[in-house]
Amino acid sequence: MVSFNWDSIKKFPQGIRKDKEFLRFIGRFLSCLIVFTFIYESYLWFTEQQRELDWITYKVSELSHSLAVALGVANCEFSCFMDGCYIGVEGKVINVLEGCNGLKLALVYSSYIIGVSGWKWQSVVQVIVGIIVIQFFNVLRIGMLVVLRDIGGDLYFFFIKYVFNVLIYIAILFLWLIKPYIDRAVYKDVN
Amino acid sequence: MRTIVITTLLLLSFNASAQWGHKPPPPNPPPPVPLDGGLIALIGAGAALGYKKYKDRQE
Repeated sequence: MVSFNWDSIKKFPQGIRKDKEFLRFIGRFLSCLIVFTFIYESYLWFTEQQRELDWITYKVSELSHSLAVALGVANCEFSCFMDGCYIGVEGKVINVLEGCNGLKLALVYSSYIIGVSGWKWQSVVQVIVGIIVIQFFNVLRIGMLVVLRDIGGDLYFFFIKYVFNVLIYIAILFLWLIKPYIDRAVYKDVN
Repeated sequence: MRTIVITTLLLLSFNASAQWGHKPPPPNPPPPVPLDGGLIALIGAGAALGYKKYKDRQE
């Protein structure tokens, strides 16, 4: 005869209650991500309808071009079209598309921060600082790629390309990991 | 808070209409430099980090 374990049934709601905080986090994290993505995709759709390039990709490309020029790339050209920008010396240009502007990473980063702390002014400050850090790394990455494309071979180019990508992902994870310490140190908050 | 959100949306509404290049795009497009290849992994890492954070707090 099979006996039914009533204890496990009794413990089930307790388990859910224990994880309620986590479920609230997941709810906020994913809903923020969906809303942010919807706003961003709507913006991209709008610019596409206008047959224009989005402002973020343009600005990231422009800053990367300025960095490459500052790093000594002579005759570095910069031109933008509807699908993206081209930066570099003629014959050795790189193509900066919408997926290269780093904003989707910034949206995931921001959703996590709001998911953990909710809509507080501290979260907004951390989101703004985080987006600046991500875009700083991204501009540095593209600027360096232009330089390396100018002086180096393709193998080096691809190696650096992946290394820089991993560095940006690590930077985001690092910002997430140090968040509780920042909260404690700056805002005296244990959340 | 609302002001910040509205300001951000207004900033995003700018576009690069006046900043087109005049030369035609290269015939053989150069390799792109995408950054969003690991988005799903990053979302998973965020969820895992959140789970660990709440588990640690329980203990």
